[in-house]
Amino acid sequence: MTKLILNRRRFLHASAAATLATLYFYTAASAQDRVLQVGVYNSAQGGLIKKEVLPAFEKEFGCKVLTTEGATLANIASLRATRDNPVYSVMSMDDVGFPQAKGEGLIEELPMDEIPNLANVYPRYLFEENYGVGFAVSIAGLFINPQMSKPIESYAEIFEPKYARKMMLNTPKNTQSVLMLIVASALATGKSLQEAQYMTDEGWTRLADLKPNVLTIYDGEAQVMMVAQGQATVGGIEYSKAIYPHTRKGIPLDMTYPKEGAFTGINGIALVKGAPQRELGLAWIDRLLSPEVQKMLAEATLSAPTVKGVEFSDDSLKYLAYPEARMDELNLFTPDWNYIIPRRAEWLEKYNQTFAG
Amino acid sequence: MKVAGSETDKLPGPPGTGAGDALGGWLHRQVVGSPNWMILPLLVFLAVFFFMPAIKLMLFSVMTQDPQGRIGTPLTLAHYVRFFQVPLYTDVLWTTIRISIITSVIAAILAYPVAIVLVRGNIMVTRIVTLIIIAPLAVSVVVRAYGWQLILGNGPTGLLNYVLLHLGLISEPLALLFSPVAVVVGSLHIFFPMMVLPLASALGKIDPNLEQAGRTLGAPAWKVFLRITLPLSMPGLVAGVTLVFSLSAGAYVIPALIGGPSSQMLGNMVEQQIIAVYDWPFGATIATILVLIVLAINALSMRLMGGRRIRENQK
Amino acid sequence: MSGKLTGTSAVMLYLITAGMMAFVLCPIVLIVIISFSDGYFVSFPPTGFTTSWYVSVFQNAEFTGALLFSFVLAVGTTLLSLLLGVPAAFAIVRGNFPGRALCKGLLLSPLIFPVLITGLALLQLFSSYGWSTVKLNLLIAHTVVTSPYVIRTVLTSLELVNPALEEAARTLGATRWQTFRRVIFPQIAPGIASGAIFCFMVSFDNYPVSMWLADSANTPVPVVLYRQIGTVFDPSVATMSSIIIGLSAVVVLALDRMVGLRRAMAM
Repeated sequence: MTKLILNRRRFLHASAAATLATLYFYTAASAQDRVLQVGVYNSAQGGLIKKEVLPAFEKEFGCKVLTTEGATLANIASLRATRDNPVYSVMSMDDVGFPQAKGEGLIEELPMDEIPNLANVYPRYLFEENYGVGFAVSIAGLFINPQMSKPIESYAEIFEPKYARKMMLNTPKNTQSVLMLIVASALATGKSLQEAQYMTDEGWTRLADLKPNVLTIYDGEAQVMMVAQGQATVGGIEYSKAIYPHTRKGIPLDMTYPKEGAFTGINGIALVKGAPQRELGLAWIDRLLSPEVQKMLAEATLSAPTVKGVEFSDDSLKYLAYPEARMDELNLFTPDWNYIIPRRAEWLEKYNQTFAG
Repeated sequence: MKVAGSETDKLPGPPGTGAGDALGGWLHRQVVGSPNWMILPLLVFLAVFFFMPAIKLMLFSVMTQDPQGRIGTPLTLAHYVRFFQVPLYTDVLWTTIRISIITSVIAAILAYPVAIVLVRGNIMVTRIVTLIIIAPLAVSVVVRAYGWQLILGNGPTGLLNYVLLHLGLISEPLALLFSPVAVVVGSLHIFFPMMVLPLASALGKIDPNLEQAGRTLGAPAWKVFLRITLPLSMPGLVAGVTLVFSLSAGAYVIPALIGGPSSQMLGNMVEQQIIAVYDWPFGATIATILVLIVLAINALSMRLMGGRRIRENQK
Repeated sequence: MSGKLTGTSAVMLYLITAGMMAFVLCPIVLIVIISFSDGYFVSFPPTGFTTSWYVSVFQNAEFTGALLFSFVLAVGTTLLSLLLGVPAAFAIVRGNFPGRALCKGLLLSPLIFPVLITGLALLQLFSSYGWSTVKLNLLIAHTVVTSPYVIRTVLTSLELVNPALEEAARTLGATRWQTFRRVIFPQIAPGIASGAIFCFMVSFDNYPVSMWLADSANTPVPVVLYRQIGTVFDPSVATMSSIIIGLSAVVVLALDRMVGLRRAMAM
């Protein structure tokens, strides 16, 4: 029989100590006065902001910054859930999110005069009459393991049987999935991306052909490493910020841009309507757009800044769609989000349906 | 238990003070005298924080949501119609049921030998087996799912593929991760103890002499098992299957981390509806269907067990 | 009950059991092994040997903060569950009101309800009333999930309390309080202890409830780990997991020392 070492006195002591500790825990938090809640991406970039930007900001403004991590749809859902009682001050979302969040009255116009660094932003990265601003621009395409696969010439290749269960497809919860649908529509109709985005009915049938090749639908950015490991050969559509930092470190992972075209992947931020700690929120946006942070983010994630006049080494610059002239050269395509947004929920379901079962 | 009790009993307690005794007397009257009311705090707590929210969530499934995200009238069954009309959701429903059934059946088959060893094996063995069966229960599902990601990894760097490749059993790495098989394996790992423990407890109640008698009378081991052990351990088996089925059906983490697109389960659909689509009524519909499946299997098991007891009493 | 296994069928049984033990241990052992490898990403066989992930993980304030948060949350959950659960178990065994069987069923029902849906229902409740104190919300939610464990273990041990001992104590002149303190409590202490440890374990490990309710300031450790699995691909995730495995081992050993594993699981 096991010896019982629990006795009443010990039990009472333990309970008393535990009660005190719990009470302390529940009261200690209220000691902090100014708390700013912001959204960041659930990605390496989000981690970087937490590590490199946040501590200095807290120190300078004497406040506590809490981050919540998510992608566009989840972040908008958080805003909806807190609509009557806003908790967040600044929320991150891709350019696709701004019209939707604005339409639902979740965000408000950025005051140009209270965010000095907005003046440096290229106008193309200000969205919806200044309701949102981009702060990092990626190029969206496919990614491969260069040791196992040649660059992909045409998106049609990934439908070939040689990629059976070798493809990682980005989750329909992410903006990138919409881009994949447009690609499938372009392949099905033979039209350009620009025209194909309105012809997705044909795209779905084509997209379904991809099913045998899809190993998994991934939703964690880290899973791109499965391609580097050789678990899969090709993946996408993904933002270059998820890939290039590994490429530069010599990991067998690289972006590839098929001839049909590549997309912009714009990470942005918006000011939440009725934001608590509004001043701090504006300062946070200003900080993300400051030349120092822009340069740091660009060099670490190899996504382009959205502000003018940041200097880079050639080694970094070759990965970046920067400055603006290079952006035009690359001829990146940005979809018509206003057409897409009302269809997004239905597409999400159709996406699942296409690849599940 | 009594041995343990008498042991603590010898430990000296602090001398009682007058006030302590008065308080003690009151406490004791409440505790030993008429403790009916003592159920109320927990009952009220669960009413407010479990029964009512659960019922309200299920009511959402017959309500409508306006574009601002507010939920209310008119009442409708449209979400249920949609669930059963859109192949995606019926597919996911079947996947959920299929994975849960396969997991419980495999768990039951594999749990018998382990439970028999646990009950009849020698002391050292049972101690070790108990520890190994129970210890992983304390490890978060998230951790264990991660472990299976490492084992089932699809390339040559997954543990299983590595081993099989080096043994020369396969020449190309297998694509094991992100499949229904992976989900079954992971669920089996997580829920296996839930099958072994009730089974061991039922087997422990069987008089070993019965089996002994069977064997003495010349019945082969398998026949003794089928005729004596299996029927007498039925309550444990039913309890285990019910538990494993309910838990696998309600899983989220396992299919999310090691299941592929073809092995998503109802729980994952609920999360997607709420987080990505923000469609509360439809999310609530899927949730309600999941709850009904789990309740049905539990009701069925209770009926089975109850029926058994009645039949036994009639004999 | 020992020594009943003989012959070829015994060999078979032991072999299958050994196989299942390997199956159960495999992922856990593998995680611990990987946590010492020094590759850029996780792979098998592990490359090199380093303890540097442990250093970096313990310097990761998000992770250590979450560990502390989960610990305190689990302790609070355990206390609240005991506070509500032990009296309720008493009422069921010693009370005389009608519908006790039904009440028992109701109190145990969160056990069979899908935990994921419990969390969702509470998310809806808390947000509809604008309850934004996430710590409290998590405490309540975890207690809903863990309280049945207390009910179950305390019920089992209460039902085994020997009334003869109680009577003897009273006959020998013990006060009611003394009887409770010296006779009843020691007999149900193992039940309370294992209930408490179950509460702690279930709360500390919980993901499906916390995923709905946690926010950036209040993140239990499984939520942090889940997020790390999605965003980090280096062995640090295995290191974090190993630390959780180590803590779980401590809890299991505590359960074994205090109550005995077999008995605790039978409750």
